[in-house]
Amino acid sequence: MNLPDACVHPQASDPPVPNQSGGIRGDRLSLLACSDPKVLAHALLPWAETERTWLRRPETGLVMVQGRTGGTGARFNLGEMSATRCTIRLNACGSTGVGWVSGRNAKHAELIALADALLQSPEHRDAVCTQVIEPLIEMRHATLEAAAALAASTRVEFFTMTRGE
Amino acid sequence: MGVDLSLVCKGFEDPVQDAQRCFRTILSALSQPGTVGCLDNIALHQPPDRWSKSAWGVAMTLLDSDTRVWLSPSLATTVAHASLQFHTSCNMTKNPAEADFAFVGHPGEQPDWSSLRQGEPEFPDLSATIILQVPGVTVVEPSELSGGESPPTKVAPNVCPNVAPNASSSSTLQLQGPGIEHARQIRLERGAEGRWAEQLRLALVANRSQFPLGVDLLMVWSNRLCAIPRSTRVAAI
Repeated sequence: MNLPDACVHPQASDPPVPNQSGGIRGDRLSLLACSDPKVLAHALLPWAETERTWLRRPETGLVMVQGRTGGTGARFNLGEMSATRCTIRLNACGSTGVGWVSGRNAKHAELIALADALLQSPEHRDAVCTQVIEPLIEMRHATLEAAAALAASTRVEFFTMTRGE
Repeated sequence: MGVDLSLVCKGFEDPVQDAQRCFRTILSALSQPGTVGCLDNIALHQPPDRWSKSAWGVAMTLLDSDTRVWLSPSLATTVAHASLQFHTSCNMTKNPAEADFAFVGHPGEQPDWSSLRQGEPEFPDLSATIILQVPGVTVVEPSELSGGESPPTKVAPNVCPNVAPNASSSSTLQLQGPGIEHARQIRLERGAEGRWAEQLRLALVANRSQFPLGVDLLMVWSNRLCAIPRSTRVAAI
């Protein structure tokens, strides 16, 4: 996963309306959803007591996963996976955050929603970026590199020497 | 589908239990027309502006992604739209003739009932339900009914005690039919809109005349509700 620089350094032009699909917010939500819940909980400890209201309590359901043959073929239903979602509103600034996570970890979904809401609050945005998002990006890169290194060590080079004629 | 989350207001505090309690209350009200159901035991915070708690509770309970919903102009706020789509994923329609549920802010905003879906002879269930916000409805106690024999009072679950009605500013309907042992009387409080009770009676009589087709009515106010399904025969007193 390649994370754009904007993910690390928030721009003033970040959309205030939380409707965007994908983009910077989508990248961050993806990063949070792929993170280790324990690490995320630890990183969010300074905000753990932030007053919040549930717009939607964590609920687990099934999501139909679709695929395309070869990435370009016709869309087909691959199968269902469980997913958990929730929505939080911060009482102080009124910003609303959503958290979606694969599987059934409701606490993880709550942490993501909290981080998402904080990231939309001008008051908390910078601190959350430096204390939560940046470390997570580093960890993510490290994990990906370790996996790549592990795979690289098993690589077999195939080459053919010219046979004598 | 984009919903502006900053507009969304809260739904049920406990979605599973509250929706089941609310459903039970609606079911009781529909199966015993002319009784008043209470949503006192359901935590509903801050419905959108101009929505009564019971209208909001009915919406949270009955709507889902398979239902088409029409909102009368006073209820069709951006907050209501965003909140309904967030909590229920229902489909909004601007045409009352397409709606499965028509939410009406006050009696003056009612669409022509005959323009709503009436069901089909093979499928009478494919009809609309009107959720109408009214100034208030009170049940006339059997002891108040004129005439000798009065049916024994049976207090159904979720039925509220009555508040003494003010006869001078309301009008009375007599209900008979399934779910009513002999007859039940309800008083419609007139509120600011004067003659709505008489118009409602005419609409109910016309509705009843095409049974088993027709629409079902849920009157809601405050955190109370009272149902008059199409099976109920209505007469003025």
